[in-house]
Amino acid sequence: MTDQTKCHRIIAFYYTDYIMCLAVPGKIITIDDDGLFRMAETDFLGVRRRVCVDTVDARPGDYIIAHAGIAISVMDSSEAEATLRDLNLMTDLRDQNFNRS
Amino acid sequence: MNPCDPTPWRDPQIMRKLLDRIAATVTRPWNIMEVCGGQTWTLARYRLEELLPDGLNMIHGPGCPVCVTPAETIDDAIGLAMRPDVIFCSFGDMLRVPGTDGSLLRAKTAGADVRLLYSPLDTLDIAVENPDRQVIFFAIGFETTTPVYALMAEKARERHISNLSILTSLFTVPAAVSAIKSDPDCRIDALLAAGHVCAVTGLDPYRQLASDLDMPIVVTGFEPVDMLLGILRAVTMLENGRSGLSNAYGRAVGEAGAANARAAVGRVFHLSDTSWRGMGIMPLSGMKLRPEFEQFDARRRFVSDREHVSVTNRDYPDSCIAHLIMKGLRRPADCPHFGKKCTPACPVGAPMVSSEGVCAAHYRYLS
Repeated sequence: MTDQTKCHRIIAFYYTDYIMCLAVPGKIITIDDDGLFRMAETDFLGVRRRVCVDTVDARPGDYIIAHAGIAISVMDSSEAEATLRDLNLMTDLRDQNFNRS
Repeated sequence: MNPCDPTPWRDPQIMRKLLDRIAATVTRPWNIMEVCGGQTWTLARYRLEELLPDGLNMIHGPGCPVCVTPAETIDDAIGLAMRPDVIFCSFGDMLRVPGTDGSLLRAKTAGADVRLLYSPLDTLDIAVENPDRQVIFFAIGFETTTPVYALMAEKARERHISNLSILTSLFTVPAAVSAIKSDPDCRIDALLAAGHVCAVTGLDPYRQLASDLDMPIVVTGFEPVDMLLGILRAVTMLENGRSGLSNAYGRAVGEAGAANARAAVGRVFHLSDTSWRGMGIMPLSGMKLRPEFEQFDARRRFVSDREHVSVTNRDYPDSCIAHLIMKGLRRPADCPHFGKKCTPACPVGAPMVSSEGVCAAHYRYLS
């Protein structure tokens, strides 16, 4: 590997940490007010980040979708469970009831 | 495990079942467009397109803000960043996007104070800590990102922070989809709507869009199972000759969306005609600050008026075909520069920059 390639890999690795769309759900640990916003200490697959939750009605324990430092959605666990159950039960290719559109 | 955790949504068993059903449903060729860079990334990362039946084509739409911010705006950003009194803040992916001549990364290496942030809200502290400097954030994004700029501008006004402004490059999805769909060269049969955009906007705008365009639209998530479920719903509707809206991402997208976030956006921004990189100006396809928030408009405060230069030539030099790729008229591999002169380390066109850009995703996972 040339020095230039190494350098580019390091730069690429560094910048992936700052990309704007963090499209993974996070679990809220605690919520506090930092003087400007209501902020949630949130666990994203083991990585802790502070996320502004002024835009949603969220409580500790909720899963949220965060984008650029603010929460844009509180996830619906029962809906997620229902969809997963449907998907897991899906065996027969001819079963037309599956597509509840 | 909580069902909102990503892991079950990457289950190969479920993916296999969904693929079987897609194959059993499809009887003729269809073109489905996904309009979000995050979904383009998932398709490439899990190599899902290769697993779809022949004739079922995915078209990678212009849903990556890094890719559609015009070169002219990058030039403005570089000009602002080079001013000694400016602290220029940005998401990391914007730094390597080529402008007409150079990039923000080159400006940074030439001494400009360019800072990478996770969240635009961090600029509020930076502005307070540096009262003698102008703090400017490069405000790019779609409907998902606009709310954070609205919160930031409202808080800055409330706290009388006068040395903070934003250079906007804000886009909206429905107008762009309508424009692409009406292009006579375009052949899009169904749309996968970006789940996180819909999480903000709610379902109504897309119900309307599906009705206007007489096309199936499926609100789709970002994990591989989500993508395949979205594709299955879309092909089922297409095969049955149905149009309309279906929500395949119910765990994150509710009917009403994020009403608080939308209200903040409505107070701070209004719809405006907006220029897209390589595609020119599309009517009412973006957002600008309202007159009462003009004090936060970096363009108005620091960039002098100038002639609007022909967009396409500046946006895509050296016969780059990115604008044709994002309309689904070409594939990345059709470009003579792909993987040769143009790589993520040294991008010629914007879609090779961000990991969510269609060319970068194809380069990394498919070539």
